[in-house]
Amino acid sequence: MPEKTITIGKDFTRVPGGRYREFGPFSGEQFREDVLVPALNENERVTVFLDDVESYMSSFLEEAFGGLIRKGHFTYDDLKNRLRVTAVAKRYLIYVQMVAQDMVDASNTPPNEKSPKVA
Amino acid sequence: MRKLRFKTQVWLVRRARKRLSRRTARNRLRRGLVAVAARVQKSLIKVRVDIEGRVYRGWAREKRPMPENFCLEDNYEESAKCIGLIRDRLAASSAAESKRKRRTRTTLPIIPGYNDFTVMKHCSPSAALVLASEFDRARALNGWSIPLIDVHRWEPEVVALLDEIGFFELLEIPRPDHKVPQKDIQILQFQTGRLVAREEVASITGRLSSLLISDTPKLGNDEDFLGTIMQLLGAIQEATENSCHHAYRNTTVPDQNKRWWATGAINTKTRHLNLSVYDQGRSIPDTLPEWDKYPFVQSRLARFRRFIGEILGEDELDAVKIRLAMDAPRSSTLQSYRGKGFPLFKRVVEQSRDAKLRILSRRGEFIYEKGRHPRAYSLNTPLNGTLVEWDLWV
Repeated sequence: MPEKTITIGKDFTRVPGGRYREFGPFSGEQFREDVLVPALNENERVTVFLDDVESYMSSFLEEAFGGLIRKGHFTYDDLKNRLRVTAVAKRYLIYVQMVAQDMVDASNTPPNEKSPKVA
Repeated sequence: MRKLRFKTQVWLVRRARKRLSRRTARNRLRRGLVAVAARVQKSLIKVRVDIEGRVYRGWAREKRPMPENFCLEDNYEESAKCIGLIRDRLAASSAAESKRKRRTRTTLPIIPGYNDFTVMKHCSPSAALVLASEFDRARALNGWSIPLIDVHRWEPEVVALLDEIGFFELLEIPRPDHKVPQKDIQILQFQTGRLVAREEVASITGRLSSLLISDTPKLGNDEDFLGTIMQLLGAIQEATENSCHHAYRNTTVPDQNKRWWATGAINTKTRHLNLSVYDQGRSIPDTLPEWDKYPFVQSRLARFRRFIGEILGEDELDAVKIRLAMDAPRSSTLQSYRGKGFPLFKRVVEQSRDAKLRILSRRGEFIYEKGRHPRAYSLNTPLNGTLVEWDLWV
């Protein structure tokens, strides 16, 4: 199966929004459902570059990447081999670390917490 | 000459007397009214009213002086009290205005009371933001025009600041021409929205950083500077998301006013950035019990109560609650994937050369300054909502 590269700033938006769609466009939920999950379903390996973006909110990253596990789309072990999140510019590396932590946290989230109700 | 009959003579005399007495009474009444009017006029204040782009001469009964230093940091209590009074006055005026709309108004009524801005010598950007948000809220709620009094006598620096922040544009009043901008300081027009901020606040940080880069070109390639600006934007966005997600939940605030307001200011000489985000919601201490990490706050709060006893009232604990919320670890329960973005608020400070984060929410104030211990203070006058403010020296 092929490999896909996604650069959020070029393939999604330069200014990502918040966690849920209901709080505005270009949310983490939208990125996960419309970009990330289809890319992972159609490709063996996916590389996401966090570059070319004005900034990230922690909730955007958690919902987009942690949500992959919490929502039951993929397991942590599966993503460990198939999803690579990285950045070229040094200033984005902090977000790379946050994504890694979000995915670990999501894999440790108890099952009853895996389907959050949107407030 | 024909001689009048006696009966006619009597009738004429009576008529003359009657007319005289009527005229005397009328004159007496007129004299009385003039005296009353003079007394009333003596107690009234002559004002110039700017409303909907037109200027009127009018009278006001009472003026309430604004603080000389309108600042939520150096003069918090007086400024917050004043903001509360303005809020009440705008609410009362809007109720009166909606009644008045039923009748056709031909003349400008006597203004019962107004806030005297002429005495204001200094205004901070965050105080101006909160003030503008109060006027914006009142306008959005009722769509009525809010008059400004004696704008031509306001301090030129204050006029310049309010003009830059968009205050006059908001009230559709022509921008006064006697403004004198503060040297080296530039304030950006406030932005407001109901959804999580994206382009609106990106334009603020983008403008501020481009001003800095044009002044000091090497900053354009400075990864640390670009990273700080990027994290600052993320933190502002987090604050607006908190406003959308938590601040107005279970409130009676009308939908059109479930908003946040943000602005930024820069002093290019000292390389000082100031960014503020404000919402008029339920405040951090009030929404904490609905937060995923509340058990952490609750347990620490219980320990604090055991330690100090029940000396402090619930309201006085606001500062402690904000401080505990800011201290809550990111993954304290491994379930808290829905945080409030507070760690990002603090990270901006940690990453900068010199920076300060200040949060005002209800009766609590939290200060997080680089190189110093976090501080929390109780406030006597509550702020309606939450103000988050960053000061960065890059």
